[in-house]
Amino acid sequence: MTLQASSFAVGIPSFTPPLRRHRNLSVVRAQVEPSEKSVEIMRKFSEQYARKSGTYFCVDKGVTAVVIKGLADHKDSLGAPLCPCRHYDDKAAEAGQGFWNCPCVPMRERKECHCMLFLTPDNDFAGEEQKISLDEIREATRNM
Amino acid sequence: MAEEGQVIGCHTVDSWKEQFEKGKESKKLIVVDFTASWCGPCRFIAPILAEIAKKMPGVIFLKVDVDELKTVSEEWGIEAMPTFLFLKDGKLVDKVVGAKKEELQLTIAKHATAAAA
Repeated sequence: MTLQASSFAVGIPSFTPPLRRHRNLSVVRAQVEPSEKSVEIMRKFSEQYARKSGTYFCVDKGVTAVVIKGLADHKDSLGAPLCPCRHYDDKAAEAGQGFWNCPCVPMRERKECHCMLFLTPDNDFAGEEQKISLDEIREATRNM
Repeated sequence: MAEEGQVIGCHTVDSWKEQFEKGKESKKLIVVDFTASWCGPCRFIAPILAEIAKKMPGVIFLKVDVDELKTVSEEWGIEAMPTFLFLKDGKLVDKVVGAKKEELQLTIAKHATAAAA
């Protein structure tokens, strides 16, 4: 697990800053929406944890919004905010084990979030905000 | 071919197998984007991959949702999303993990050139 964790450091240093792209990001299939309650819990958690860890949301808040909804979806279905950017053979077992529950071990230990939810200030994708409103989340994921 | 220049979504194991075999026969490079619905970086890179696909008609671009095609994802050992696999003659020749635009572009160029040579 630890070995794998170190192999996907979020790097992307040479990426040009992405302009507000979320309006074009509609190529995603229809799916069940997570509950509003869980979205709000994960939204608040994300704001708090960004402040606590000294990290920032992505300049493209569409990324932030999608990940928050993914965490909320797992909270609804598994009872724990399992990372939505990884594949698991057995999601329930993984949620019980806890390594990839947000904030995951790589994030807590090394501030590595390959989901691009929490970005250190030196990351080219880091924006300047540690806040995201429910309206922003709704707007960014409207076409999903 | 109507699908040239596009990212082809494989929504069933059968359609995956079909595209995989087609690619194998044509000897073309296949780039597979393993994605998930609530993965932020996957949404971020998708339009970038679509742009690359338009410019590279000699390469086959496929997209697989890991929750939709669980067996395929497990067969190829996908752990993090997005993961891009590069296949030639049905064999894995390279892999890019994460929404890394430049690395993705470079890796595609590298293997596409090798295929043409």
